Amino acid sequence: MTITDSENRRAGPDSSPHAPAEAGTWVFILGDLTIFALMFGAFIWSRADHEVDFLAGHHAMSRTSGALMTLTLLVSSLAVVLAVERIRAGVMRSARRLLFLAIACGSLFGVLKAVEYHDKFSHGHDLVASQFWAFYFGLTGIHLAHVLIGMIALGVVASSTRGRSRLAPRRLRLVEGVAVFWHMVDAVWIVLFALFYLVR
Amino acid sequence: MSGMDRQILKVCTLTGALLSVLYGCGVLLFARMIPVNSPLRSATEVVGEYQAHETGIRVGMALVMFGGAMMLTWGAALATLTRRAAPRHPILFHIQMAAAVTAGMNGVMLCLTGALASFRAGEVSEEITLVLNDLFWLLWVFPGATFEIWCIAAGTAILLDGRDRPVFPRWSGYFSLLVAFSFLPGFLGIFAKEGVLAYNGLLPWWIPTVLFFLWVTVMDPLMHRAIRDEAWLVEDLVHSDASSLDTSSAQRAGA
Repeated sequence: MTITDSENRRAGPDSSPHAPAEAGTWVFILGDLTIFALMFGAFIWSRADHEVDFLAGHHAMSRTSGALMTLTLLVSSLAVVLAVERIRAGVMRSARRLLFLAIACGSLFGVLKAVEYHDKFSHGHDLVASQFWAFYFGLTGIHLAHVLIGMIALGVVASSTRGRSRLAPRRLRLVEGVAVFWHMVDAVWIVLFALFYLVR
Repeated sequence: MSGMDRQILKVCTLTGALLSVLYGCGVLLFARMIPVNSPLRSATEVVGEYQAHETGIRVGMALVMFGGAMMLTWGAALATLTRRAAPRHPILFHIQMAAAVTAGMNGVMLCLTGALASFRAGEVSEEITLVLNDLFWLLWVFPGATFEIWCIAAGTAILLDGRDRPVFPRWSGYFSLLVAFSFLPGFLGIFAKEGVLAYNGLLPWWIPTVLFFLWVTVMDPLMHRAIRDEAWLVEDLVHSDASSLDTSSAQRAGA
């Protein structure tokens, strides 16, 4: 892959210190985080109004299952950090393996979530059961959609490294953008884990 | 692009502001439907409100109908400009056009439902008015997928623009994707009658509605700037002329 002069001009020299990803990515990341923050605020607000429902809901959550999901996402985030480092160093084969590991962890998270949803449904907890369960399915469902989109983006990044020893600066910014998105998904999950599984 | 084409494009771009004004005046000022009432209200209460604001609701619904039509013209302007951004991917233009037409039709269906609820309020059974009122708000929040696809297609076209001077700034592409994401929970409105997931709640109504009109407001000046910026138009035309000349030369050489 040749790096054109115009691409270099747009992205700047790669060796200079810079915030990860292109500036526009942060519009998306910060906007998405703001939306999640509003949802968390609504959760805490509703909790005060429906304390009994929420306490019953919290006690029905399995901390072990939540911790396992947290662990899979943390491992996937670590794999993405290492993959980006490998891509910067031009070690593409190793980077691809790490990206596939991250995707596998994301898939495992999806499977664990599906098992948990099935368990909750079988115990009569669905979207309309109470405010707690409406929040649980609504927020974790939206988060799961983010995980799926992130996995697709990681797959695109993995395929973009095939047959290349170096990425153009502009493409590297896109890779960093996908990595930042994945870390955001991870960070949002940690808050969800605390709100739904740890609070008693 | 001729001067006349540019003028038409400018007028179509202006309809974005008109869209927001018509929706705002229609629903907020005349129909007085904001903040959206809870789905838990009784049929009697709902009928009472439709009767209390009878004329306002009908005028408001007429304004929303015209606002819905503006989605077609504004959507066409956005699709045309983003086609300049990603000329090699015309499918994104077609997706945007189809989504804008569907969104416009949704607006028309929505205001027709509200108008019908007001037209017969007090004459028919209260439950009919209650259901029409529910249908009005569910038509507002439920078909979010159309808007998601619209924003994703526009955002992708903007981000595919690889030129030194892109038609739209790249952050606007990411912003379009953010707006698309905000429509994800819209369908949840059908699952809850109270709280954050209800059709008057934070997730299905407030976040997507505010962000959609913010998107229109943010994109509008960027579209005007893109039209004003002649440089990319000329560059694009020269490039496309050169490409067509190369293609025809190659075809002649092949023949």
